[in-house]
Amino acid sequence: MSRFKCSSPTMGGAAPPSPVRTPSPAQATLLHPNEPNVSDTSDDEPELRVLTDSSREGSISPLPPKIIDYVPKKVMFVQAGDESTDGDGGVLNPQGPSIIISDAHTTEALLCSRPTQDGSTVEVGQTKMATQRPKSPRPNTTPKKDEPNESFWDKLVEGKHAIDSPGSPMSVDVPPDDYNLDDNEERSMIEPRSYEDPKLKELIAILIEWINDVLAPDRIIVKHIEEDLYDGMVFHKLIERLTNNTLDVQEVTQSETGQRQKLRIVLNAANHILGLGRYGPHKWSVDSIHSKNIVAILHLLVALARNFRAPIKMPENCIISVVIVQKRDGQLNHRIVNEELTGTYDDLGLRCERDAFDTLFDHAPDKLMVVKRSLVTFVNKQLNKINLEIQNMETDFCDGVYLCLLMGLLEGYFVPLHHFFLTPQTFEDKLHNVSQSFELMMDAGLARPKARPEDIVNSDLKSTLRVLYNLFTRYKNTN
Amino acid sequence: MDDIFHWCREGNTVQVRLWLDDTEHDLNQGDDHGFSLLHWAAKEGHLGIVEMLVTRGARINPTNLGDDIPLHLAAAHGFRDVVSLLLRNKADVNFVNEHGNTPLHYACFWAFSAIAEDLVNAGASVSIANKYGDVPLNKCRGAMAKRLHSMAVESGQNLEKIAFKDQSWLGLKTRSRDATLSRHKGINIDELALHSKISLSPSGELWRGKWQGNEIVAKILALRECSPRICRDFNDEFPRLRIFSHPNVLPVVGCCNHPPNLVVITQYLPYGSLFTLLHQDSGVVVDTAQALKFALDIARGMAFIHSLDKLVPNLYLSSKHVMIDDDLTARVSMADAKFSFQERGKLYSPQWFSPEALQKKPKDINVKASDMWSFAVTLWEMATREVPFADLTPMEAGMKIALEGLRVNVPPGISSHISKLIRICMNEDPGKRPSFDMIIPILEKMCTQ
Repeated sequence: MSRFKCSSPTMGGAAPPSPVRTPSPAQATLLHPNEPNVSDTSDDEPELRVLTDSSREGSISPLPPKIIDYVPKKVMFVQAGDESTDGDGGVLNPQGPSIIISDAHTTEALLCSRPTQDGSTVEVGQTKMATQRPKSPRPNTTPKKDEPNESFWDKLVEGKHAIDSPGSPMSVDVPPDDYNLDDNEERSMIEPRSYEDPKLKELIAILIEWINDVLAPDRIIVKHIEEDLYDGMVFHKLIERLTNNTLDVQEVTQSETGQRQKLRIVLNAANHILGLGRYGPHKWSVDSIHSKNIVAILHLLVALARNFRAPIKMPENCIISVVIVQKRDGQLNHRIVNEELTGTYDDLGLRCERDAFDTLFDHAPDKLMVVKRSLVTFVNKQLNKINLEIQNMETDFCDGVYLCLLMGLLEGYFVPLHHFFLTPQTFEDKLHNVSQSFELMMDAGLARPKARPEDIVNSDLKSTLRVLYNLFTRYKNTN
Repeated sequence: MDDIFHWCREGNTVQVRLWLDDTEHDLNQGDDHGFSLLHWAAKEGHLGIVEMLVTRGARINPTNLGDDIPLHLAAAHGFRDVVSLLLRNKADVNFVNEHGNTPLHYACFWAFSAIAEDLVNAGASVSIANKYGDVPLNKCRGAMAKRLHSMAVESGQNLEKIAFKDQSWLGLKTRSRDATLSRHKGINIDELALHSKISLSPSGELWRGKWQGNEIVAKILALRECSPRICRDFNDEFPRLRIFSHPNVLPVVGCCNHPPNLVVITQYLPYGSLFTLLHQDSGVVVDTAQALKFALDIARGMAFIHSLDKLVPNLYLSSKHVMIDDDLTARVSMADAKFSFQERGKLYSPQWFSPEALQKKPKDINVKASDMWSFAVTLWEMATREVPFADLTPMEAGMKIALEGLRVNVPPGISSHISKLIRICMNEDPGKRPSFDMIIPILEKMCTQ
């Protein structure tokens, strides 16, 4: 069981650089800090626990003299550069027309709009908590803009350059004032070592997968969490999909002010949905998201995923270190702050309408046992016919095999063994099984189970009980 | 006129063969006067076409609106080779048309003495009187009557005059099929006059009704929801079930795609399925000879289906999916093939399935060998008159067959030939099971014994 839990967070097809396949015990403890039954792995190998602890401390302890090397913008650029160097940052869906999430660098370069005045950016970016938006590599022509007799040919060459240039932020053209800080100005970025944190990687991969699942009907594919999300378009679509409401926002904006305006509306909507006040400090803001602050973006995504019961299992206790740099009296000072992106959750099913089972769980744990027992009796009465028996209500249903067989027994048909995985190995196999059993239930005229297949596979007891109870009420009188 | 009847009349063998190669064409259909293809070919004496039609499974004794069978026409027009071909294929030599005439009446009247002799040798009675009280001998001229009379005496015929009885109301005849049956694939649901519900099964509701004067059975598919995608798949899939060209295949006549109702229409056959004939009170005695005949029919039907370029997907052979025609011909029912969107993940009759078909996807197994297993179970069923694993629920039976080696038990009481055949067809190794083509000669031999 514990092994399965380790692998569960990877959902869908593309596996994130999963730490699970190469089971490092350090991680196992990180993943299950509160689970007593996993601790035996670390008990066996105490030296590994030491390793874990030391690595944790290591991530916290700062490296003061090196800070100049981490010129904040550069760090951001390195991270951003991964994506933007290998393409234009736009996402083309090979299957058909798709909305192209344009990379700001390219868009700006292509549109060749007047480069934003430095002053205006600062003006908008009043808040000190976030970095300024990293400036895009300007087209070569920026200094030329004042030349009065700009020729047609120059324009052509310029356009060609704009098209051909990879839009790399590492371009030498980045004016030095971009990473100059004004006095008392602050910038924050993830401490580079935190990027290597497997939990963070996992969290990002899972969130991207979730977004892509939700936005599949819109044919939007997100590849990079910062580059694709900062302009608010994906958040806009995401919220529309999740709430089934339309937001009164412009579909596509390419100017920065347009993007900010859009972000403001979208974030207001998000805060409203999340039950947060319009004002007051949030973990995200227009500026922080538009400046591609990954911490803010992740906070918002996690909050949305939790609120909408995303069928994903996010790594728990994902904590990253954030470096905040401030210029004071011409000196760069920095401090490192730990940001908790995810905490621990006791419920996978998260929010839904409260029903008898919630009450049962909260108020009558003794009765819960009775309910469990009678459900087990009911299920075993059927399964015994084919010489099977369940032992453990919590775990025996998560792979969906018994649910499929149960439906066949209750409804009077044989479920061909190629229709499901009799011995499921992966999360996907189990998910397939549970989904198939749900299909069979709906074919039998039962309502679509409130629980999601993912909840069952993740061994959420409450969801499992709900499903079984539905079967029980329908079939308690059949033999 | 460029239709099949015309080609049969003028003897256009090539066109007829091409036409027959299309499975959607029903070779038992009749024209406006109920003349079937065989009627026309026999009337015009095209021996090649007659032979082709007969080998492809055309009915030998269909009647036109005047109650003539092809033998009447061949005898009346003096085609001796056609007459003997029909006789060899069990044409009813004493069949009476609406005037009370047998083929012998016509042979005598038109003075085809060789044909008349052939008919008498094949058992034609010389003493059947027609509506006007004339026996065939009354129609003869010259010495012919005398010779036929003595032949009849020699063969020991009862020479007492058999008076004409109007039997047309008895409905004993098999008319050539209404050609309109195969002409429409998309049928307007409003044209169906459904009058009584026959049964309710997991795949849908069965209704009896009438459509364009034909008795039909309509199956209204049970669907959780009728999405546009399902309608599209339905339209794509049902034409494959319209196989009119083999006598042992019962085609889907047509379908109504009328969301939320999808309806599959077949001919109504009063005997129902082989399963009901065997296990329920049907009034028909299935003795060993009849069982072998059914088995041969099923094998021929399956051999034909297996000979098609594209196999019919999700066609599961079992006694429930074999229908019995009014002349006790067994026909594999195409209406019981499952659509891709139907009963997904549910097998209601795993008792007839081969172990590998219960475990693996159809694309991963030899479907033909798997069908052979199902045939063996059906054969067992006819030999023992028992329902296989009647005491087990489908889930129990399926699990036991698939994983625990549960098999039907061939009791010692049944014919050794049949039990041997069952064992051969139920070989555990799918690769070692015979094909239907291989067992047809065996069954034919067993039928003649």
